[in-house]
Amino acid sequence: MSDASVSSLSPVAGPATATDYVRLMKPRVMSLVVFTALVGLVAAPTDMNPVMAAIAVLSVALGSGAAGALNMWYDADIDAVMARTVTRPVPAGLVPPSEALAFGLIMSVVSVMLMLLAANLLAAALLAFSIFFYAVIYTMWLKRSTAENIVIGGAAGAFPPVIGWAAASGSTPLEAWLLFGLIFLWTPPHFWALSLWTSKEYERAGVPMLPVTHGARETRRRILIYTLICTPFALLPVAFGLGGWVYLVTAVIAGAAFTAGAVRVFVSRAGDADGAADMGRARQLFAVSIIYLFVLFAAILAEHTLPIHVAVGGAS
Amino acid sequence: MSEARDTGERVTLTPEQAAARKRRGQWMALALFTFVILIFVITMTKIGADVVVRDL
Repeated sequence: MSDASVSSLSPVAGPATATDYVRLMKPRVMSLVVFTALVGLVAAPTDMNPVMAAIAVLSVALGSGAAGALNMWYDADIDAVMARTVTRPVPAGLVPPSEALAFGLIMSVVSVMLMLLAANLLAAALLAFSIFFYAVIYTMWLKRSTAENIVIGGAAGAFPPVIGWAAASGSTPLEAWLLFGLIFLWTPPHFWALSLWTSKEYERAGVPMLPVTHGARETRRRILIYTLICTPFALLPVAFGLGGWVYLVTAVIAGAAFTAGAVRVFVSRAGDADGAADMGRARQLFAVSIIYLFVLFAAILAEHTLPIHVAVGGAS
Repeated sequence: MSEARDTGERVTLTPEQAAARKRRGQWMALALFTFVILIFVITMTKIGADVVVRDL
């Protein structure tokens, strides 16, 4: 071997650390995905081998991470011009784009294969479709082409409880799709609250988020509309026996808080040129929306794992 | 078949880069090992009972 060596790797091409790859998988998003998938799996009226259940949940986590990596690979140009995302591994030069792509593809295959082996074909197919939906339909198509990106794209994040339910039971009854609908309707007000204070960055990146294309006032109006649809919809699991009294009380109280937050944003000037003083309301709504979804799913989880499920209008 | 041409260029890693590469290699090995274990566990869980309880 010649020792006429001599260049050193540029920081851009330098070996990434394990932490960079973990960040590539969007761990915070993954935590909510895993939690909702677990709730779907537990709520299904079928006992699943605990080992297989754990591997099925792991598969959903890996699938979520794969979708996140593919998203970061494709959106590196957008992420590079937004303060909120500029430190992500790809735009920061910590992980080369080609490695992010390979990582996402390999993880996709591994997650779907594990789900197929541990659960069934339906759950594996749903997992594969949700990864495809997020990486291709949302990231590559909708995000850069329509202000409704988050409305339609929200379906990708709504699949996990259905996948969990399918993994446990091999089917996806109406109750599973109620959980899907809950996340689907929750996503727009949750994400639009965030977009109210990041709209300038989205505008600079050329992403047609609602505040960029329709203005902050229309965004605040739609936040309220979707919240007013989402909170009553969240009561439907009670009508179908999926949720009992604990869930009902939780949904009513949390729904009132979520609605109050949306009303406070609606009557504010958050997102307007002179609305800096009201931006705190949008941040509060964003935080409340996360708590809202978490406590609703936690209530379902508690009712299906603890002896506290008392059906509304009937015996337990 | 064409042979790769040796241009004489080599990459020299800094100590930090070498350490990072080693750590990454260890994580990849751990990930592969975990994957193998998972496949083994799935297989044993699925066939375990059938192996123990079968007609002889």
